[in-house]
Amino acid sequence: MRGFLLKKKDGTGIVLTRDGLFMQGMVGEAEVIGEEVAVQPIVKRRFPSWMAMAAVVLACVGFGVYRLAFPPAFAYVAVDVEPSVELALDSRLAVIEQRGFNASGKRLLALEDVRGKPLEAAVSGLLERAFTEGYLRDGRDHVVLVAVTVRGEEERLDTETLACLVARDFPAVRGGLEIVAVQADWRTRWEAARNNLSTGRYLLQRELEAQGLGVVPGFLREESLRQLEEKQGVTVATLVGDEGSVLVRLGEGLSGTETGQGSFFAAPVPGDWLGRRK
Amino acid sequence: MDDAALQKLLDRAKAGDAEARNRILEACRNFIFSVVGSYCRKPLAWGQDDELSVGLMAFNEAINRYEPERGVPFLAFARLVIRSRLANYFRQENRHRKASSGTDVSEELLRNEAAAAWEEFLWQNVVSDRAEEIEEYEAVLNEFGISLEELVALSPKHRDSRMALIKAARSLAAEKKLFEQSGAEKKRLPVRDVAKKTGLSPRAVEKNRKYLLALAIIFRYPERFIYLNSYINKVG
Repeated sequence: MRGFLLKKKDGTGIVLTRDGLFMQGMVGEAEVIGEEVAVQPIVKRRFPSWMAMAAVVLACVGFGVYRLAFPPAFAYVAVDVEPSVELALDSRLAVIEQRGFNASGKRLLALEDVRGKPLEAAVSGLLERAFTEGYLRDGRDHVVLVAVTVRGEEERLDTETLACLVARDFPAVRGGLEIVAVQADWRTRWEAARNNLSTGRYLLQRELEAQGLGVVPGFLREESLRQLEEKQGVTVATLVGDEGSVLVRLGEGLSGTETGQGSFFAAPVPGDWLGRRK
Repeated sequence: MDDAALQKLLDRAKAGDAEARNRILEACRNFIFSVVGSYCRKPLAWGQDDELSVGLMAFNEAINRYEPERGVPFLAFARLVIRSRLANYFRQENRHRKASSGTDVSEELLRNEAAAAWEEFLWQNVVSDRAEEIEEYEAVLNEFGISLEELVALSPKHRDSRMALIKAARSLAAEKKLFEQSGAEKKRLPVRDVAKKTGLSPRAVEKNRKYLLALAIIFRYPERFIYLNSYINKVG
């Protein structure tokens, strides 16, 4: 195509054709502005259709391989004491991902990498590490909140089983212990992650707000649940325990815990229950 | 007068037809006045200012020297001749006024310049003359908030659409009041009025307003944009 050269820069030019088309294209180096020149349209290379098909197939295969190597999470288990962590599990209940939501949670996971371990070993390892790092202390009262999000019904991850699992491996043997295990749906878990909170603490935030009890987000994320209870004047069990399981071992601080609330399957429990070490 | 009619008259004038020559001179009086006026940058009047006589003689000379096979529009060539002769005229005037004894080298060169060499020099000036015209066109477009890059994107891809818009742009350019209004009112087209005058739908005018204005500018100022004006096909 030929046109009147109006502008030229870096091998391309803008021309006006005799029939009024302003077009941009490749022009010769020697062409001068104001002359009628031949212009080559700038053609955007298009993939042949077979190439597009091949790209789609490749993408599908790639996605399949990726899914084989990194399967999507079958379930998420969030554990909150003072450290706030979440474990993503595959269908074998092995940890495929771990995430710390607060400073102590991140530190704990940095010290105790549980990826690849079965859930039981992971929980046990994390509680043990929390004890040695001073997040859990013998003789103190502790509140543990476990929130589970799972695809469909899964007996291995029901709230009762999880509460028992934590109780069995809890390293601090003296003092009170309250374990609250609840189930959360995927949307709640997604909203919690979006707010950079564990599912358990997000549920607490929601309930506190519903009761008109404001809480500073930083405080909610960083402090131990026992401190949160003391500051807010409510217990975790009364806030979120209604729909889950609560396991209580009476200690000095928790002796006043009302056991009539929530769904209790073994409460109160004596101090040396489940045959754990002393 | 369209290009073909002008070319016929030029051929006849060069062959010695005085009537044809007079018709060209008469038809192009406004053009000569405009070129001389823009060169001198002062108010002029026929019969009072020598510059206009110089311009008229230069235009007459351009008729004799014009070579259509060079591919340059006649009016563009005539503009070059007029400007060149006016430059000579002002140099001579200056020399008389100063009555200087020193020798002006450029004047000396000009005096000794062979007519053929001068003519060749004129033809060579066409290149820079075109570039200047395009520079001026781009500047006017910018005043209207239009860029050449935008026009590449806004040009209708279908030839028939462009032809219709070129025709409409000619109508708009011919409507002095409407065109000036388009320039005055925030450089925007009064869509309804333009649609009425050009026969386009208001939607088509709105959609193509920048393209329409870009072409109307060329058609509105044929003496300023001689090369562009003569390049675009004449429609309707």
